[in-house]
Amino acid sequence: MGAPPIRYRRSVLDAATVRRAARGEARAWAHLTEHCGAAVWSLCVRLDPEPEDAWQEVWARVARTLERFDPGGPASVKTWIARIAHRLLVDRHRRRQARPRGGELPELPDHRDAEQALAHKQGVHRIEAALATLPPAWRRVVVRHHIDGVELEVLAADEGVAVGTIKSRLHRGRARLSELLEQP
Amino acid sequence: MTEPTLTDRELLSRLLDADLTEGDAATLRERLADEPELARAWRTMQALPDQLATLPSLQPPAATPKGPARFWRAPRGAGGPGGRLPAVAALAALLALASFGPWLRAPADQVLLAGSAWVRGDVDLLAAGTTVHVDGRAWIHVEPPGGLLREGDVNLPELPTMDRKQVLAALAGAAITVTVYEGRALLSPDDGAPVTVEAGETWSSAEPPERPPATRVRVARSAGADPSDPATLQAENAALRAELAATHARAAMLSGQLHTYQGEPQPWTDDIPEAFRPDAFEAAIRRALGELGNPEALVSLDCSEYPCLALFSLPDGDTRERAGAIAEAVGAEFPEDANASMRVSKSDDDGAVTTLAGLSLTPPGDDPRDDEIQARLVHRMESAVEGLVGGADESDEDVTAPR
Repeated sequence: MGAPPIRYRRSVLDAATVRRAARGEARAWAHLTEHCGAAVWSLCVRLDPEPEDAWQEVWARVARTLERFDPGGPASVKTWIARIAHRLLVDRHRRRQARPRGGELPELPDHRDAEQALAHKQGVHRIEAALATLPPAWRRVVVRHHIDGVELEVLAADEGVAVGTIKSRLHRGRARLSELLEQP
Repeated sequence: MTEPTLTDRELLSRLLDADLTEGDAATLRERLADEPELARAWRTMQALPDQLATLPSLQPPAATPKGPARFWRAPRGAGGPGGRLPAVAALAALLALASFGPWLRAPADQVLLAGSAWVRGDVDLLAAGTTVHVDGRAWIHVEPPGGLLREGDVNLPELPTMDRKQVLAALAGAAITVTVYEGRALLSPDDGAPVTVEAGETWSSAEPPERPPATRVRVARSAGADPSDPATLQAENAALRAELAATHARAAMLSGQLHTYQGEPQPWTDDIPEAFRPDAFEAAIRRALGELGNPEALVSLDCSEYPCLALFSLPDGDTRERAGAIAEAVGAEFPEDANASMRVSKSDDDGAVTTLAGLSLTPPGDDPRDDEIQARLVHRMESAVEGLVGGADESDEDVTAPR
């Protein structure tokens, strides 16, 4: 006796899976990281000069706090994790700012070559490279608002600043991006 | 014509969000009509949000980051080490445990005073006088000295705040055994060098593990040696024999490690009661499913080794209720205090949910092979589900019998 093989390619990230992930079940946790991993990694790459470290730190924080996530609340688990990532990246940036520096180092992700990418004139590379040249505070607002779709009021809360400050950063970031993208 | 300044571009960004006063907006629109360069910058600004929103996500690293630690121990009275429950009651208790989360998060100062426990995840705990860090999945057993601590056995969820030195003093002389099934464990005994236990290995403080020497013998010919000289050939022959012996020993060790990880297949022996043998087991399963009016639920039956493992397909809906119904119906066909193990696995494909449940029963009473049987059942269940549902996209709930 036997049943024909059944192939499944995708699983749904439902509330039960999130609860099991919070309890430490390996497969549920793997589902969670697979479901939200790309969004978190994109943030780490775009907003932190050490994305691998940031990635580990984000998930360590998610692992410690996942049990507090309310599946019945207004935010999806993906949004909830993205906010954790954002706040952590802000913290990391502030820690870097507080560290005494041995020299004047530019605040650019060390894995990018912005000038070379711009020279390629490929849309995605140009935009990513242009993003990389923005000061971190402007970059965070532009990425979170335009790529992740986060409202400015939420960003202001996450950054711990006034909404007006967030708007200023957004407008300055856009201004700088539009200037860079018009360059040959 | 002048290039727009950054200030001009900021104004354009504010215009995009309607974040200007009416007067400022009107002034800027007049400039847009008169200044082609500014108009071009405006078109760039208008396209920018869509360009950013459609940036592709970046592929994350392949390795899954570490998840929450989890720690489980059977509650007292529900079948601690060596204890047993009637099959149906055991399943009911286990299904209830699965519902309310038997997997506990281990704080850093978790202590295992006596008995055995499964440890999963990234966990630090104190077992006997040894600090154990588990990163993966391991079985830890502590045998305390004499009966000093029997009365003081403590359920980990009710762990009292004991002074660490008191704990260590009380556990002096206790023996600890660690078997790692996945990942590794790092043991730091107070009175010895740290030990790393890899997957498939067992370490015990009572009996040091025997490991064959991993030596390799190289035949080094001195310059100018005559390869046809009998003495040279004899030396090479001896060296090759030694290398072959070492290789055989290593192969035996690896085989042992594999068996430790996958469990040892158990043969059908004459002392196994008829009710638990393949023909009778299958007949009992079919009768039970017939009573439930769902004979098609049985998708596979593996009696290639002891015990038999039946795999059921559960319909969508209340998994626990359905699994419990099958367990109860099957349990009624066997002696009342038979031991049962059940594991549930669920997969979802575009909303089509399929749940598989594996069930195995063994005769009442203690069986010295229980550890191997349980480990083997886990492996057999995972293999059976893997063969039926393929891929790794499934979520599992462990609903195994308490030990």
